Amino acid sequence: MYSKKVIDHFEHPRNVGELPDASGVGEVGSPACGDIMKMWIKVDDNGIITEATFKTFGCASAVASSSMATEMIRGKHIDEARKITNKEIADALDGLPAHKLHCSVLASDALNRAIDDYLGVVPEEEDEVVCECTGISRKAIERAIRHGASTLEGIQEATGAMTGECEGIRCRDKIAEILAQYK
Amino acid sequence: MKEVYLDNSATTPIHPEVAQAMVDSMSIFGNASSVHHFGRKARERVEEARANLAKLIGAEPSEVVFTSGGSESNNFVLKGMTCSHISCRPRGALMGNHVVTSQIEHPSIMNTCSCIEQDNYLVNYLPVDECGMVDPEMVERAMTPNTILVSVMHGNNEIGTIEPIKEIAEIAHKHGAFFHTDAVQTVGKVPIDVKEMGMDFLSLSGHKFNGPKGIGGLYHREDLHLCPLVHGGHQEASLRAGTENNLGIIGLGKAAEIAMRGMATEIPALRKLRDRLQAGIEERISDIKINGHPTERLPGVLNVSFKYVEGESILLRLDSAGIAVSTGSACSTGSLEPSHVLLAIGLSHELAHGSIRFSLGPQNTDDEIDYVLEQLPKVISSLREMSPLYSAALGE
Repeated sequence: MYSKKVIDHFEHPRNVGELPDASGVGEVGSPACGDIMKMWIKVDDNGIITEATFKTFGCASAVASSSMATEMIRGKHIDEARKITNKEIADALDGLPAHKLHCSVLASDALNRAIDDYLGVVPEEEDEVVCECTGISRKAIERAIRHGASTLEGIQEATGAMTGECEGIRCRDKIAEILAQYK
Repeated sequence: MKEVYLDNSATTPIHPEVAQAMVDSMSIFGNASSVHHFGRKARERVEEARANLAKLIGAEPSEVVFTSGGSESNNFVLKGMTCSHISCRPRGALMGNHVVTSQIEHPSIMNTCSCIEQDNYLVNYLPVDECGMVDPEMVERAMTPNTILVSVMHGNNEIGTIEPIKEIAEIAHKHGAFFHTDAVQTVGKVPIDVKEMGMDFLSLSGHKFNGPKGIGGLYHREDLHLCPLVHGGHQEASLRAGTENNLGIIGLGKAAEIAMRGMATEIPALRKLRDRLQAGIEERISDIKINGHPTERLPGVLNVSFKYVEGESILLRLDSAGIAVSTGSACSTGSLEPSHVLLAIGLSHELAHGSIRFSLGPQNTDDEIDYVLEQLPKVISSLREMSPLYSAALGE
């Protein structure tokens, strides 16, 4: 089920821990959906992320996604780090099973939240969950669209939305609506 | 690397004597229904196996039908009782469209009930208490003049709770309904006497007690007829068509024989080993919850929630140490909902996500349990170090 890279990052996660003098901290997820991720970043005066650590309550995909995410953002400018998509995190892990893609979305949400915290940006409204079965938020869907997903299939492929138990019956129309707003 | 198999509720290793019996019978290929001597030879072995299986549960051989397993047996009873052709159903279930079951049944009961609900059947899924027990009082209150069947499992596969099925069967009969039990997890592991317990129907499965996969049985009280699930030839007294699975049946019969032999000694030993594992975990690891009834529990099952960590992670780390268990966490069921059984006993989502089921079998040893007690605390503490919930809890 899991690639060697996922197993590796799960068995030997990189950058586990807290940063006591962090520049920004982001926490996402909930015990109800079985995944919680917290990320700490240290940013220097040039906006470069010098250190990134994480703590995760979740399955192997969740641990691997957050571990990989902290690896990917180290040494990058925060603007560059923001651009990293969940798909890139999943690809860096040589892919995640479809029903686990939402773990990579959570990781990219966590890093964005940490960067928001550093910049003093307060999330304006509660991130609306659009796909309830997989816990994918409106923001995650919008991000996927901005990064090139132009159809329902594209959004599904990028975020894992509509792959849950109800197979999109509840959220398909809502996602189509969001897509229409971007066209 | 040491290999320790603690997932016997999922399936069990084929007992060496069962394997030998099956290998030795490879040459018995005749169709048991054929009149010539090739057929008669097969027929003899099939009936011998049937007699052993019947003895294991206190039934008459004529009351045991071979099926492909527990799921088929469960489907057979539910669909056979509710066939849209009224004359197909047992007398006594002719009228009425109400079925009573519980919230912790196996999916082959739950999903079949959903199916019959589409056909205008009303199904009540009774709640359970925090130990997973069905309250007979609740069954009493759920009964109506329209109730035709009550189906409550004997032993729950996830948390091991053993239900008071004799009492519940009495209540069903008092109200003119039939009683079925899914005994897939209990046959061969606890003594069963279908007459003494008042069972009308009982499902069982070979691969849960060291027999082969793909074979099981349905016990039906002598005079009860059901609409077949599988129509065709007249095998199994016209209740279940299909050429008899000689090898599977012979394997199942042998497993039944071995289970009867070992019941008095192996089962208490199994219980003792499980209790040792439980005590060992309670001693070594903090912030845990044991799920299931403290005493009325299957002898090999131990379901534990480990706070602050997630089940699939625990499972995979144990797996890399050679230890096989299973989890009620959503992440591993493929859906985002954790086990319906754990939610039904009132566990929070978080505790449900952090649950592990250890299910021991007669082949497990003291050494293996020692090894698990050595590895498990390391796994849990390593995952807790990584968990934001644990650090939050420590901070409080």
